[in-house]
Amino acid sequence: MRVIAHDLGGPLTGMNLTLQAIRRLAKSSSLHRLIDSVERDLTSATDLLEELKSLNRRETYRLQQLDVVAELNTVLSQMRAIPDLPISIDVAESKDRLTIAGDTSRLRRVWQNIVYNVMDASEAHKTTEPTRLAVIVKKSGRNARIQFSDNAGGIPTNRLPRIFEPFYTSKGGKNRGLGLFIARKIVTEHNGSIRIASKPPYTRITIDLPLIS
Amino acid sequence: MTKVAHTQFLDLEVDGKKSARKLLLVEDVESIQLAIRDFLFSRFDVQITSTAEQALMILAMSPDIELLITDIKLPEMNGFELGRLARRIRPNIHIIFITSYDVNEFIDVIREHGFTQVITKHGRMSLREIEVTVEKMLSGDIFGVKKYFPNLRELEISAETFPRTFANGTLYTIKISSLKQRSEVTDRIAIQLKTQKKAPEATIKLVLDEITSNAMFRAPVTDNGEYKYQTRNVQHDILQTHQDIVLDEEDCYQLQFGVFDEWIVLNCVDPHGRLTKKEILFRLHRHLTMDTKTGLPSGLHDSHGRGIFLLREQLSSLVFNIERGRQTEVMCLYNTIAAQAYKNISIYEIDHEQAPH
Repeated sequence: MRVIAHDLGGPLTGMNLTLQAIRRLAKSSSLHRLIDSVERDLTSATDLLEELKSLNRRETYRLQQLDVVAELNTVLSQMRAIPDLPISIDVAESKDRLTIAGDTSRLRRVWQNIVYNVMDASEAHKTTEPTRLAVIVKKSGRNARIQFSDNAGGIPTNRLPRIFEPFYTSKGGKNRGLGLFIARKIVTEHNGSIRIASKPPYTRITIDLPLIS
Repeated sequence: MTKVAHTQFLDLEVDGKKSARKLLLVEDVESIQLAIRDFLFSRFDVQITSTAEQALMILAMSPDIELLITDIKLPEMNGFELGRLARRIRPNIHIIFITSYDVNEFIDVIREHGFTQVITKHGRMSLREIEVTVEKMLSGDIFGVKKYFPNLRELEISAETFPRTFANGTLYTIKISSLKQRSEVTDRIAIQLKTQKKAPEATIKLVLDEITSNAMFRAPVTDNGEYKYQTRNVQHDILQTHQDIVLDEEDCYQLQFGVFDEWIVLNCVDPHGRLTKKEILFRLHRHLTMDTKTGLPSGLHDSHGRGIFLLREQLSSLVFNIERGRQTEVMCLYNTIAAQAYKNISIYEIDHEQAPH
């Protein structure tokens, strides 16, 4: 992955820089409009690459003791504040104090990716039924278990096995299909596990993260 | 945008104008080589080559080349080795490295040779960044956010005139004169940026705390060389900051902040110029290298000095402008849209007492 990211980065950077030089030299406005349009495509390609590179950086994990419940509440309340949020989010939290060793910013990506997925699914599914996301946080053996259940349409059984693969998406062209791949990568790197089950229109994602005793 | 006359465009292959200052660009990827040259063409006389060997020959033959821009990965010889040899030929030459690799992996050699400018080639990289770096190095005029955002408006404010919302394109300057005022101002900035730009409050607060701590606790010293506003606790080898600090007039510093489209700028300017290139590279090195025995960062247990490393990790770009004994400016650029995986190193140090190297 590192090598691929690097090899793709070279030509993309070359194109981007060339475009900047052309922009400085170009005088006609129609030319500038064409440059704008190439630049937009290029930006979306390069942003994706930067994202992959960030994921693959070594030594960037900063583990600290985290209270899972507090963390989730912070993120979810931020997401609830999104204007015109198409879904409702409920949290049922554990009374136990669930402390794990985690990298805050990365784990936030996990929660966000899952919620975004539900939002996208809800928009694609378009039922009259309001979409609900229920988040349950509880202790399960030596793990903190976080369960995300939604009614946003579900996933056909034949697609489930591939759902964590990179670039796998059922959401059409504009999507990169990296959300759950990234989520699983981060969870695994925390020595945790992630599972998905679906029975349309319901989907449930279960994440276990080891507790610090 | 700079206007380029049509004739100049056609004359690209002809060696540049007589008045322009001379640069040498060493880059083996043709598209990047041409792009950088053509971008800088209207301002500088840029010679190009794709190998280190040729670069050294050109340097030996053209004594008026003042600045070298080189890729790190070159066929045969790497850019750092080229930089080292170039300094032998031309001790005062300015050097800018460009690379698409993770700079952190080269921190050993960067520190050893005191290299100060490494620019990461990435998708969103702007050629303006190279241009500004060249301008700053050649002119010695290193201070100010305006170099990065030429169209900004500047506005001096106080606690009473603190803006309710930050106008896009305006750089606000506030003078900080006490510990209490610092925490009030930094809180307000972090909260406002969170509301206005969805910037993570904790990150912004951390950045503001770090840059102001440097200006407030580390920069001011007495004539005897002792810290004025913190005391070393010898037993625990830690520095304890004083309570309820009110700064002497000569220790007050400026905090600048603003939003420029997707960018957030936070800049701290102190009137001491005590930070050094050497110290910055040392601190980065401590935190970027691993202790071979423990596999943990060498500097993990350092009692202080994590700030520079943390800042750099959080930001898109961290620039140090230092005029020794006169002024330090720590400039933080945070992009609210795109993350940047690999970070630059950017240190400008003017030391009137010493030769540049």
